[in-house]
Amino acid sequence: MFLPFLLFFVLFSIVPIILALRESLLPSYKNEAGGFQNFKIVLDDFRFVAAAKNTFLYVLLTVPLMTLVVIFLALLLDVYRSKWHQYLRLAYLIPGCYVGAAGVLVWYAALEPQVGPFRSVLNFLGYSKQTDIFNPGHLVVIFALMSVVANAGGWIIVQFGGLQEISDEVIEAAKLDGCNQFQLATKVKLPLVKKNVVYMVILVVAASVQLFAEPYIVNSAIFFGLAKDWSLNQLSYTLAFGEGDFSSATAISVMLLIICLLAALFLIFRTKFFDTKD
Amino acid sequence: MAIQEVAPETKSAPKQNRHPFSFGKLSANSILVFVAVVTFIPALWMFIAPSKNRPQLIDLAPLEFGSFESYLTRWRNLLLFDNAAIIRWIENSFWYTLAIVSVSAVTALLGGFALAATNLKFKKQLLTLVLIAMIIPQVALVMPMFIWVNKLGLTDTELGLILASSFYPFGVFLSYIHFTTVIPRELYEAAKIDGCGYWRVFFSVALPISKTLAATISFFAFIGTWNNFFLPQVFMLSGEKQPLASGLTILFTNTPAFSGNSSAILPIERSEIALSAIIMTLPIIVLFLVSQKFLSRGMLAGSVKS
Repeated sequence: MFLPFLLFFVLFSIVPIILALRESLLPSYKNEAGGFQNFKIVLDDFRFVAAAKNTFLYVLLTVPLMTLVVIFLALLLDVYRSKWHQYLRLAYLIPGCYVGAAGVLVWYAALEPQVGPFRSVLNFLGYSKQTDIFNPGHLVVIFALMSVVANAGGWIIVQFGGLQEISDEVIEAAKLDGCNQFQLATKVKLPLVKKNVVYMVILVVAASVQLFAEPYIVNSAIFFGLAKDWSLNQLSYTLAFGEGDFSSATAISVMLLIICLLAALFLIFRTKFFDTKD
Repeated sequence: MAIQEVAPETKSAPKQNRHPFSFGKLSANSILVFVAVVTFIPALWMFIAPSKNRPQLIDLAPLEFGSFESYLTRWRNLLLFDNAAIIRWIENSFWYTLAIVSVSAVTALLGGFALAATNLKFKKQLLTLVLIAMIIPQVALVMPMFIWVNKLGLTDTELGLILASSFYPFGVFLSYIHFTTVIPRELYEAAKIDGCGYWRVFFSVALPISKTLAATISFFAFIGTWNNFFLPQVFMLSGEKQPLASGLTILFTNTPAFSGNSSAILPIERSEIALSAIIMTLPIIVLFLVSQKFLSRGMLAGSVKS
């Protein structure tokens, strides 16, 4: 019964990874000897340093922001459960519906200080021209916001679902012991759903490291050249399909894979992710 | 004493009336509604934008409605791009998504069940592998996958895209959690004692009470696939084989809607682009609406209390 999935696992996960490892060590026109020198060439590329910095800042901003927003809203939804809240949860999911090109368009419009729907707020904050918003210094904040707003809704449902699983008896007992709502949230509920939060953090870190679509679309379709090779994956794409240098491109892929792999292993084994399930 | 105070309240009051009006409740609800409204406004803009032509888009208030006829005009203008390429992209998206979701859901349901209920060898190790694979985002495998699919000679083919997109460890994980938590172990044991094979247990015991799970897995697989951008962008070299997600980028790039970086003289402006974004987004919104019932119970909550 595991076989169908296992086949996909081997053929479309393990085999490509092994091939990528091999490819990243093959000779290229930039390095006829091949080997680990490929990695050094990539690391020395000035674009790599810039893209790595951008990606790192993006992760640094997205992960805590997402965690705070999701936990805060999920707890709020859980405190006074009402039937009509299901419409709120639906509304939180809406921004997750428009990602990729559609998402970039909507965000472009939302942050447009002359004709956009938030123009009065933006003008009040001192942004009056498009370039006040869409400039290189702001990109990391824009991409992080896009990601948080788009993905928070789904995570709120996950975390809210986890909170709902806490038994009423536990909550009532804590209330009898004199817990107020804040203590209830931080001392009782959060420790009980810690596993779900860890799970979210792992996935958000891993997904954020791999940022590609938004900067790629902003750069190629909205503001030409504004976010060129902004993220590591974008640089990998440029190296492969712009410069025909698959060795360097896969070297970046391999490095990103290793980061995700380490994050996964660290969090799984450090936080004993499995232990309560077995 | 305290118990006596609480007991009648929990007994008699239905859940949603458990909290009478309070300042805390009002503030909590205000924050929740405020966030919902703010996040909803950009979507509203997207839906209203195609009702306006270019001058109206600037002259009218951002959320002011133009006219219904305008939607039709925008659609006709969109069709002018590359011999109605958008229709091909929609069709492609539909078929790719259908195939990928089906394969992902079936393999995930079976895989999760095998990990949860059978005497599969190396279960713990396989489970760890599934989790690792789940944490590593699909995007990370795009470049390695391209090299592999290229070696197989399947680049720019529908089969290559579908196969490469159907590996879905997250679904296996969901299915595993479901089958370990919702269905008591004794049930598997009992079925086994009764002489049922695992396949029989799966089809006659596990599957009938796992409709929510199947729907949840398909739901997430659908969203991931419909919105997937990087993989088709890399795999599908010819424009006519693109799904909507990557097709739209071609549309954005080759029309004068934004910063005018194109020489193409087409009446495709921001209103048209907004309409294309609606087309891209609508299936997901509809899916959210129809699946609200099971989603609201919480993805992680198999045996929910609500």
